[in-house]
Amino acid sequence: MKRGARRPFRWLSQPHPLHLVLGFALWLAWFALLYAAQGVGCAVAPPPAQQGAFTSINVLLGVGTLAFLAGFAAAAAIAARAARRQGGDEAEDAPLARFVAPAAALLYGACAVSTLVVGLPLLVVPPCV
Amino acid sequence: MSEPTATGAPRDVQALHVEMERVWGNPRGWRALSIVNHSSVALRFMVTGGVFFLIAGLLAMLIRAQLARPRQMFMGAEAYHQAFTMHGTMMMFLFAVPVLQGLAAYLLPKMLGARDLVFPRLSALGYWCYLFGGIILTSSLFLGLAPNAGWFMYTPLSSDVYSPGLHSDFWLLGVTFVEISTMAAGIEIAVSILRTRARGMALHQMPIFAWSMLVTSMMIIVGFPPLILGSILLELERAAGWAFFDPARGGDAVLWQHLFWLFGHPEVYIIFLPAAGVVSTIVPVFARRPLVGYRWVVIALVSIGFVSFGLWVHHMFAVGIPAMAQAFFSLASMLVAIPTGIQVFAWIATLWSGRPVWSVPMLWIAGFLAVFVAGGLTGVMLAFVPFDWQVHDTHFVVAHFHYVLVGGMVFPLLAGVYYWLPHFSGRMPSERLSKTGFWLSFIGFNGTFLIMHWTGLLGMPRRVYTYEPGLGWDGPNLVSSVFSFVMAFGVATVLLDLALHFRHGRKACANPWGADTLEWATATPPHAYNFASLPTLHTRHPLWLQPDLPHNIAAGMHALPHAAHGRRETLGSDPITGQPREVIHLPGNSWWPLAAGAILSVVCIALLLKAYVLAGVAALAALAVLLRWSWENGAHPSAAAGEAHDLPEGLQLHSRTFDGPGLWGMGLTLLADGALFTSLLFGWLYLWTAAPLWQPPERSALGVWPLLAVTAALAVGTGVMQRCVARLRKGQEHGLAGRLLAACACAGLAGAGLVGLLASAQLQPRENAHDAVLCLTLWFLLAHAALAAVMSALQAWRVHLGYVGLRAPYEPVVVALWWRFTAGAAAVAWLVMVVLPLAFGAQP
Repeated sequence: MKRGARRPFRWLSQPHPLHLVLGFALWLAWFALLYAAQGVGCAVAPPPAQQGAFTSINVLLGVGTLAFLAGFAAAAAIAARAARRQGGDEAEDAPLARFVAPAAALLYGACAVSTLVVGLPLLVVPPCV
Repeated sequence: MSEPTATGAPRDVQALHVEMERVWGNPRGWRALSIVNHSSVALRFMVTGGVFFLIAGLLAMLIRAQLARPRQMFMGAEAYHQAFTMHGTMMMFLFAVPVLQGLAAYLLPKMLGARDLVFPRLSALGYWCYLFGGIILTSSLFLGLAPNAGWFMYTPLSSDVYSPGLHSDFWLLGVTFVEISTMAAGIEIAVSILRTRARGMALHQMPIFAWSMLVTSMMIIVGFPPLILGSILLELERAAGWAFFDPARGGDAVLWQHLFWLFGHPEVYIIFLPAAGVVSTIVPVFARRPLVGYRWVVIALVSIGFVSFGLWVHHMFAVGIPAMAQAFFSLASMLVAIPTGIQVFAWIATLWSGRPVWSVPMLWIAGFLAVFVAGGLTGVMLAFVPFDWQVHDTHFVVAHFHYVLVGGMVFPLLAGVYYWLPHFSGRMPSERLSKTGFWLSFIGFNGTFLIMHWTGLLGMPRRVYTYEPGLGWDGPNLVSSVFSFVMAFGVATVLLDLALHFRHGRKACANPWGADTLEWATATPPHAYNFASLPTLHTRHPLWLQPDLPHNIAAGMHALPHAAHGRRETLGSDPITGQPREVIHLPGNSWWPLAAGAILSVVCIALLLKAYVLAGVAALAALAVLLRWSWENGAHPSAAAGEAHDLPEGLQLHSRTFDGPGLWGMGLTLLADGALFTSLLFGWLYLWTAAPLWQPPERSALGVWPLLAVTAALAVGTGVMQRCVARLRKGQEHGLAGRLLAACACAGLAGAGLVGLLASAQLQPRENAHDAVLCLTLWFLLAHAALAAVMSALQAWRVHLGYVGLRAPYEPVVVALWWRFTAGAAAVAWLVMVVLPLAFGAQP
């Protein structure tokens, strides 16, 4: 890529303190969406209980969960790479960056794990019983 | 002129103290009621909270006396209901949160290297609201009208059908009044942490207590509004007959549970996190080494701050929610144990790798670790849905949350009280009496509540005033009751120790525990101004690495070492790097907070007595007082006294910039406002989806265009305000007053449209929940539009008087933020309450 060319996700690789809260803010939005979508889905078109866990509600929520999971995992990887880059930086704000970048990587990683764990019931539990 | 960065020449310490005291000193006698200084106000919070703790503790003793034997008639059912409701309510709303906020308000400016919190008069207003609200709520006990529906006030039990009289009204109005204080403190503490740190204190160098209070304050700002909304809805249902929770009229009683626990579960962590911050502050001091895993602890605090908002339904496992939703919340409830565990391991590792010195504060920390870990483990047990069903509403749950709350808050609080006691008084705690107090409390607590787990497992339900003999509950209850009195003796011993300490305690030397944090660089007890000069920091452990700092600070060798100008000044810093951005000038002592608090208490009492005309008049009077108070702001002579030629190079007074604490305060206020509005939208969508008899009309009651026209008027007004700000940024002030008046006219137009809509839409809030929610939304928007109009008009007047303009461009930026929120809220209301129903088949 040419120098100065636009990189749409460049901000994600910068160790800005926003990363300390962005991950879990999105996780909370996903969690609320998961609960709300399950409730609305069951109110509008409840699948029969005999169908088990393989219902359109579970599939839709599962796809959304995987998308968030992938996003968190990618953000964790990018933040981890940024953390490694901060190692020998001599800039004035380097200590702050050395604090923020690894913390952001760990927080995004925690979001990914939390998404995976909370999403597991989608594989086994029928939605509206 | 002094540099904020350089170390200047020393001044005469006594002369500098006299100069500072002239500006910052507290008046004595009855004028002390006008004090706004953070140390004084914070100590008032803590002492008042202590009094409420004692009253709530006495209620607990009555409860345990009643349950000591089967068929005991020491108390009747009604008295018992009032006792347990008020015990929980007072402990949660009048003790736990206010005392922790008081401790934070006392410590944070000193830890951060500031002279005061950013909104001292708001602190004072918060205190008066807390005091008056607490007195109103507590008075219900003496009137025999105390709330009796449990501290969580479940509907329909708390509705006017099943709780006639004023019982529930005392709770709804009193608690909401007190919450003004909690919200004010939350906003003020968050802004102070972000904007008033010492130079060089970047985020990664903040004291861990500041991190815990930052997370806690943000949780308060987002977490309390659902309860405030729920209280407004329930009081409207009780007092005006509006339908929100009545299933027969399209409402749903479970909506209350959602709103309550949306607040209620984060509340547990709102109480625990400050206490965890206290522990993380104290443990390294006594371990003689820095906290192990500072970054991990920060990660844990941030994680808890968010995850705790995803747990609320675990309080509702028994109400019939689908298994999948229960599984989501069950797993999230288990997950939150991980960041909590990280903190516990960090504390243990710090002690393990340090050279611990055992003293009284560490006794309470050790007690905390034992009790809180046990409470956390039973919490994980309760996260399992089948187990929760088995013990739901039994004494097992009571035992669990007392282990979490007493272990997780009271023990660390007492550790903190003993640790900072020399700071409050200049005297050391006693060794003998304090240890006796600890052991009596620890043994009494475990004897009471450990046994209660078994009472619960044997099936004894909570909230029953008596029980039959022969059920196996007699023995455990008697043991619990006996040990509860042992605990009471422990608390009494602690109080006796504290009382004697202030008179007979050994004089403390400077920094008596060998602490690392900056609060120990002040005098003990501290002066009202905290620091004679404001230091530059390069470390998280300033007093360990710069032991001469207290002397340098007192000698005025750092920033802002003078007060001859008459202003109360502190440095305003960048929220990330801690570099100075401006000099914040703080307001001095004032009677306005007391006047506003007193008038608001008249509003509260008038609403209780259903004297609505008086309530309306008092509310208008309160608004007038608040506006008059706000008048002394910015470039007003009484707000920024003296010439400002002596500021550090490159810095201006905050009112002469486009950025200052007020902007951040408004931003966080609107975040809370947004949380309240989102809760209202959640209520709308929830009732639409879940209420069995929710019946929207075939035709939209609001029509399509009227609310859109209101939104357009507000959007135009917002544009005009933004234009004012943009022109000020370009150095143009011509026509500023005219533009502000034009914005005011837009708000007036929007307000008129909303009044017209309320009059013409023929909404029937008493008949159905659908109309009740719509009606409340319109009133919400109307209140915001009215305030936008008033603020813009006042700004125009201030431009005319020369208080706002190029020289002081700050206030229109703050008001513009309000405008953006109001226009945004109207647009969202239109989309959700007009467009969305149309999309699902309603007629325009």
